[in-house]
Amino acid sequence: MMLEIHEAAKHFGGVRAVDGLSFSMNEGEVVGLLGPNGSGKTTLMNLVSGALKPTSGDILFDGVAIGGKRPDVIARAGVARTFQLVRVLPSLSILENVMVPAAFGREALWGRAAEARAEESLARVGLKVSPGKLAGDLTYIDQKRLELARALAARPRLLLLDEWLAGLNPTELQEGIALIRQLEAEGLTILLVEHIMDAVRALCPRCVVMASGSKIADGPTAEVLDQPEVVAAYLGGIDA
Amino acid sequence: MTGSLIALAVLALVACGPYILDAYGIGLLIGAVSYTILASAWAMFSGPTRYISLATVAFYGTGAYTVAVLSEALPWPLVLVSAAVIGGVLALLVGLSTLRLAGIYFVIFSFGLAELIRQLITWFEVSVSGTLGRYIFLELEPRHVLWQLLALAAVVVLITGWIHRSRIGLALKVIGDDETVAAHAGINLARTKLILFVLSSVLITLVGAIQSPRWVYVEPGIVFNPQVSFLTVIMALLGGATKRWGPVLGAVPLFLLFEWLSARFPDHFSILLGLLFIGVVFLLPDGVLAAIEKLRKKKEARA
Ligand SMILES: Nc1ncnc2c1ncn2[C@@H]1O[C@H](COP(=O)(O)OP(=O)(O)O)[C@@H](O)[C@H]1O
Ligand SMILES: [Mg+2]
Repeated sequence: MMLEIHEAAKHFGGVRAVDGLSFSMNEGEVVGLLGPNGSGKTTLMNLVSGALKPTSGDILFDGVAIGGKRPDVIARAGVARTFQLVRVLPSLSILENVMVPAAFGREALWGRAAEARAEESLARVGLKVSPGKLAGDLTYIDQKRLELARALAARPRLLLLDEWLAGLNPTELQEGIALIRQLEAEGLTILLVEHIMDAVRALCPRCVVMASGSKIADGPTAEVLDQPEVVAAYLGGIDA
Repeated sequence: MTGSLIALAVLALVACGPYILDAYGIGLLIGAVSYTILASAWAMFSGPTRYISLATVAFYGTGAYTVAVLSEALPWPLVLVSAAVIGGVLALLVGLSTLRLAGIYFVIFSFGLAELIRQLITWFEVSVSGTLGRYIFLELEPRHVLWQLLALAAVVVLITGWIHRSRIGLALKVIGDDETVAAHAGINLARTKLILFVLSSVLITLVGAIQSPRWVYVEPGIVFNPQVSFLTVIMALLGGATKRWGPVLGAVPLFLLFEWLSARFPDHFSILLGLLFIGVVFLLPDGVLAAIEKLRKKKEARA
């Protein structure tokens, strides 16, 4: 198992954002994480990436406990992510943005090697803007591309995508789906939060569905989406 | 690179000052160079991390006091080394215990630190060594003080240049933009901040040590004057703490302005300083250069 989540919980005061949730992922698997708004998907991503410490429960990556570890330690172990609200480094150039995980990740590349890795990642996501430009000046879609390139620059083994496809127009969405498919074909393990059902059906053979911090379904996508609990959870809940 | 060379050339030029200036002029140069180093060292840590540190005088005063205590026991170079080591160890302890604090608590703690050290030394001097004041008798003339400060300034130029080109420089830029992204890219936030805090504090301690012979007589109340901390923040912020030459551009003109103000309005100087501090922190936290840049961008956008 590449990722094992055992009874993970995260409480914010009285709010049980993640409430004793368990599931596992194999290497090379692409799993969709679904659920209505506020069901705890982002919080779960935060627990895996180290942005938040679990209140209780265990998270294992490659058999090693990472729950509660610092995000930089988890990043160097081979986990990379994008953020639901896109976060580029606005005062750094595009190239510098992408160099960062290459420089501070597992491989600790520097100089020409880090630049080469950044260029390669930018090419992979199809960002065709002068790499010397400041990241803060990019359009929204290009910022999203940049964030993905940055996540890929560390050559992660597990990629966490939090609504990376949200806010794209239909053409961009098709490009985005093709891009993630490409990563899937290369054997990358991906956990992705997504509201766009066409994208989920196209990309995720398997889905985990959350509601109020708990897992209510887990299995092959077509079956899961037909389950009455899932349909009920989504009625009135979903915004997409 | 060219920037560093120009800066070193300017320092060399200033080093000729004692051959043409009178005592007052040399004194001005010493003050201007001291504050240039203080503001640059302050910005080294506070620029990218955005922690407003009011601990400058805690380290500056520690440097001066180290000289007062050790100057007769050790040769001068060893006194300076001791000051650097003491400042570094102090910064390490302070950093380990405070860099996890949120911004506003850090400001308060850093301000309290100088007071704490002042009280500790006062207590020690009164109850253990039995003297409150100390004399610094060293055969160092003002020009020697100036030259040593210029040498330290050259070290600062070289260190900043090195930081800009190194991994830690990139880490700092990332931390300045977004700490969450920095941590998720593999940057160890606590360690990066600690290294910078120690480095910056050692430089500040050395300024205090090198210029201490100017005082001759020292006691905690003189050495730990909170004005030093406030002046440093105003200079660095007004010049632009995130720009490489910002602190220099802030320090030199403001030092001269403050000299003039404190001579002209000795009774109201503290109030002026307080108002200026509040104004800078609220209105121009990114500095004059950044404000001008912003204005220019706005104009361009409108055109
Ligand atoms: N840092 C936080 N502090 C307090 N409550 C939070 C925090 N983060 C998330 N929550 C709460 O946890 C719940 C789950 O949020 P989230 O994980 O963002 O849901 P989702 O990503 O599925 O929309 C929500 O009720 C949200 O308000
Ligand atoms: Mg979310």
